Amino acid sequence: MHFRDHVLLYTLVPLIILLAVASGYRFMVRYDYNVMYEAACDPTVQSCFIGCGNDECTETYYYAEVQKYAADLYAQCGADITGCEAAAACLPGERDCSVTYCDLGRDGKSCESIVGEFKSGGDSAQVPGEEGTTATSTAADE
Amino acid sequence: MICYLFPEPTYLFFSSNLPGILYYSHIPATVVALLTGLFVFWNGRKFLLNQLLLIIAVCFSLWTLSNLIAWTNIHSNFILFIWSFFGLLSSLISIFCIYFIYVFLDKKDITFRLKTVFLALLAPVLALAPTSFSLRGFNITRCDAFGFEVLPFELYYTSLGVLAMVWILVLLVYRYRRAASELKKQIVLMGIGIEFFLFSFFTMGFLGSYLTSIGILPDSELEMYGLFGMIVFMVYIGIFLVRFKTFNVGLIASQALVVALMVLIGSQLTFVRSTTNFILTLIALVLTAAIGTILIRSVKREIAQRELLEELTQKLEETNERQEVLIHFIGHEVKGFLTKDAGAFASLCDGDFGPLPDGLKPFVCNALEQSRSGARSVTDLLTASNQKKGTITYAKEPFDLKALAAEITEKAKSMAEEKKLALTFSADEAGEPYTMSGDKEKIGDHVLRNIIENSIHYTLAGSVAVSLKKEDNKFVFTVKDTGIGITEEDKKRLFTEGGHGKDSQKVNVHSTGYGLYIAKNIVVAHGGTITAESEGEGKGATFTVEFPGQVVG
Repeated sequence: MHFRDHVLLYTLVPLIILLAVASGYRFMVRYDYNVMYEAACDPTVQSCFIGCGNDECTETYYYAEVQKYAADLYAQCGADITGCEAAAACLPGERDCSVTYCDLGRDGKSCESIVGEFKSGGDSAQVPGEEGTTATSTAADE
Repeated sequence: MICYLFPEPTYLFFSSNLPGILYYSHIPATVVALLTGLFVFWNGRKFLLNQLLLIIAVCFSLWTLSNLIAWTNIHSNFILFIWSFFGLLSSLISIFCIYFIYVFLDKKDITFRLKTVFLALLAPVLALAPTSFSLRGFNITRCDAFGFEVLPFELYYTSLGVLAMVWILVLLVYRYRRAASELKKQIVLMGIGIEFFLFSFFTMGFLGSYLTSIGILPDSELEMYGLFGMIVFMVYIGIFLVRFKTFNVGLIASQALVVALMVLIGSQLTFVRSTTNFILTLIALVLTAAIGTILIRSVKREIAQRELLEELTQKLEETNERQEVLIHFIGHEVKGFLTKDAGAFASLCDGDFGPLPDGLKPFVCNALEQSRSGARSVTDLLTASNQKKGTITYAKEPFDLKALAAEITEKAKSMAEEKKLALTFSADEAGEPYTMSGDKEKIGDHVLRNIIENSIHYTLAGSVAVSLKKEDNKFVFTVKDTGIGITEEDKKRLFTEGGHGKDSQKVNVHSTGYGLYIAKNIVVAHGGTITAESEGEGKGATFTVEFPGQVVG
């Protein structure tokens, strides 16, 4: 079999195997990606998003949007983040972590807040002491 | 990380609370594609086209399987691992579809250069798929990665699909213009099948994914409709299997059709919600299996008959060929004897060996005429045979058609006089000169002489008028007689091989039926036409030969 005749076979097969190994290593071993999820939110303290608990939206719940680096989250909470308090906030030293609260100006009626008027504006501030992280949270967080 | 709002699937990708169409779109399309691909490959492993179809089917099946896993699995790391192959699999489908069409059209492998172009097109996808340039993250709440796909990467592999569509379209249109009519049909069918598949797969896939990522759609259910394009493509492949034998596969597409139907009906079981529906679907499945079995058996019988017929046809062709060789041999032998006899009779008739007794001379001269007539008949048979084989050659030299027509008419006068017929020749002087380029001997002997003598043979009383004129830059040679005429039924056989009029041999016993057939072939070879007109039986006939006037040497 000449290389020129089967150049696609000889080139693609090793490259696809390499791709599978690299991809498996990145996602399955290193958890090298970000995760986004809805974390619990207290409307008495924060301006929270309002989510629907069913299709008819007769049941609602409050949440904040959290984005974390998967490897960090895995180290903090394991595979299942349900009930893991660390999942709801950015901890010192975390990479690519942010907590986004509802912004009345941006998100409109889907926000729920019973704290002071100054908080419902959805002000953003860097989490103190976390250089390089991009946390978005209300001032009362920390 | 697991998607905490969703249940763990059973058997890798079976889960509740999913769109009903999910399994119905994925499973039949995958099974049909895999079955067709494997079936074609299994029946012709050494053929590149079959191998490529299998590769396309496998890539598509891996894509649908990955997509099912992405829909049903709840482990973010595993879903992302699977997700990272979508771009690659889509790109492979695009590139191998182009490759497939090249091999389909050329019946051979593509060049090394084209293969390197394909590799270059795939290179960005191969290099970037496992990196953060393709996928950045995962939404655990929604359990998908739509918001984290990198748009340029997504656009790149989608544009490879668009490129494949355009490339294939241009290629097929280009080849269609140059193809023979049978191949044209195949090009159209293959074009519709593959373009429909690519269009539905990539357009629906991109729209489903993009509109979900920007939040317009709640999920990517739309992309599922695109998968039905593969079923359509495989139906077209089935047509190629049955009708054109493109994949060098025996004719058992009915089995594939029945299996495909069973898959389609059976897959409905995956989303029926009521017992009644379940029972009805089950009944439909059993009935399809039963009727399908009957269909397969009858098709098998038909195939056996057709194969037998093909075998007999081939044997018949071989026998005909052998007979033709034999006739050729006998013809040449008989012609040789007749020519020698004619030579001997001519010497005796002309008195080369002294005067013959009074009673013997008419007998010898008649024998001379019979020998010459026999030799002409044999020559006709041999000429017709050579024309059929395409071994006849034509001279191309300028000659005066008017002089030739006048000479042939003059030679036929004695024959006309014997039957007391008036044979006249006239040429329109306005058309001069009647110089044309062609084979003077064949046109004279087999066309002009044949038509004139034919008219004399079939005219019992009256006249035969030969004329020549120039009309619309064509030389029009006409022979009009007051003979027995031609019926509508006889007209259909007139210029065919061995085609006699119904009662022609009653008038001319020596008719071989090849004269006008040979004349027609010669006229056509010179770019002309020959026609016969008659108002009916007993109303005479007019033979018209037209030669293009511009063919002047």
